[in-house]
This record gives sequence, structure tokens and C-alpha cells, in this order.
Amino acid sequence: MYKVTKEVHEIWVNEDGSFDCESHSIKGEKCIEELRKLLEGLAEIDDFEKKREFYDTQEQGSKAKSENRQYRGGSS
Amino acid sequence: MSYRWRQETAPMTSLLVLQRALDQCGFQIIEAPAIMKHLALARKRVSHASTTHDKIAAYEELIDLIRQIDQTDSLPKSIKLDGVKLSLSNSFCYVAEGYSSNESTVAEMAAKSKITELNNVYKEIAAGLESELTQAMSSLESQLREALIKAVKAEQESYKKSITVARQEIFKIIRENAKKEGYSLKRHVFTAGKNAGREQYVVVKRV
Repeated sequence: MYKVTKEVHEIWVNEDGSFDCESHSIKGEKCIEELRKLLEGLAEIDDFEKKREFYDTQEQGSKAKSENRQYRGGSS
Repeated sequence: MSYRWRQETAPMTSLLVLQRALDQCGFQIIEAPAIMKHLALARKRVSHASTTHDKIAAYEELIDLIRQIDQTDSLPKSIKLDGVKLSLSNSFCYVAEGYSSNESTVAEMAAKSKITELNNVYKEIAAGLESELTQAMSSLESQLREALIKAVKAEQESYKKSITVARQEIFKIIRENAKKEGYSLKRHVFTAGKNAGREQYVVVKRV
């Protein structure tokens, strides 16, 4: 049986047009690659903070959420 | 020998605010759309006008220019400044580019520092539009007050419109990108609470 999982990205557009992003259930570099695709034509990811789960390379079996935040455009 | 350096600016949606910020930071505009030069001149006329009549006329001229900008509604693709070129990239950010000598990074550091100043001043001007209106309302001379309030309101509305247009464009681009990458999309617009003024996009893919 295949386990269906969801890859979730939250993209926040701030009042000044800058973005804050947070990804859930995506491990490693993939979350940054996916966000780059979603923000193509809008923003370049120029700074990001890796959470502990970023380094979790297991494909399945982890209940911990991956939360990798990306910041851009001088937002904090 | 020289090399090219690049630095992205903060998001910028309004030509009016950008022109004011460039002026306030002391950038010399070498090449830009004529409307930017007209704006700079109109603002100078306002500050140099010595009589109430001249000041009112100068405000009216400024308001006309703001309305023209609202109709065209676009940021210039490129602005050539003294030693730096700003090129529009990613819809709402500029990339500042310049050349530096291999022997010294002083000029590059100075230019990058001015771009950081431009980012900060742009944000300050945008944030200060509300208080400008309060100040305008307390002006003493009634005819002048009326003209000043009209000018500040026109500027405020133009800025707000630029934000609305930018957000529509952001929504369009994120929706297209999400569709292309096989994500579903939900958009939440917050008008109250701690996230008032922000928008949230939740994009989900089942794997």
C-alpha cells in the first residue's frame, strides 16, 4: 500500500510585497527547489533558515514536520 | 580591469515613492522615463514656490502628474543613475548593477550602501504617507491646506493602487506556477488581526 502524503508550502506576502515562506513535510533541498519553482518570476530566495528536519533524509516514517523558512527582500 | 557587481533592491511597487526615495538619497538620474524627471521638477516647484498662489499651482501640477502615473501604472524597466543601473527584475524588485575596479572595492561598497539606503528610504516614505496627511490637515492657510491634502491623498491612493496591482500580479503568477507544478492553491487575505495587510497562499501537492 502506498502512503499518501502532502507537500505543503505557505507563502506569505507582506504589506511591502516581500515574501516569507514556510514548507512542511518536505525534506532537504527539495523544499527550496519547489519554492523556487513556485516563486519563479516573483522572487529569488536569498536567505533561508534550515530547521532540524531539513537534514532528515528518510523518505517515510517520520512524523516530524519539516519547516524550512525562506526570507527575502529584506523582510525579517 | 574591472568587474560587474549586482545587488537586488527591496520590493518596490510605486514609481512615485521610488522617485522620491531616489531624490532623497541624492541619486543623480542619468536616464529614466520623462515622467520621473517631470515629477522631480514638480516637487521642486512645490518646495520653491514662495506665494500661496504659486504653491497651489505647483500642487495642482503635481496632482496631474500623479494621475498620469496612475493611468500608465508601470515601473520603468531600467533607470540609469550615476554609476549604477537599476533593471526591473522579478516584477517588483530592481537589480542594481555597476562596475568596480579589481584593485579596489571602495566604489562597490559605497554603491551597495546607497542601495541599502534607498531600500530603507523607500520603506520610510511609504510608511510615512499616513502621517503626511495628518500634517497636511493641520496646515494653517485654508486654500493651501486644501491643495496640500489633495496632493497627499493622490499620492497615498496611487501608492495603495500600486500595492493592489502588485498583489493581483503576485496572485496570478503564484496561481500559474502552482498549476504548472501540480499544486492546489488556497489564498487567504487578512484584513484584521495580527496578520492584517498580509496575504497567505497555501499550496498543496499530494505525493
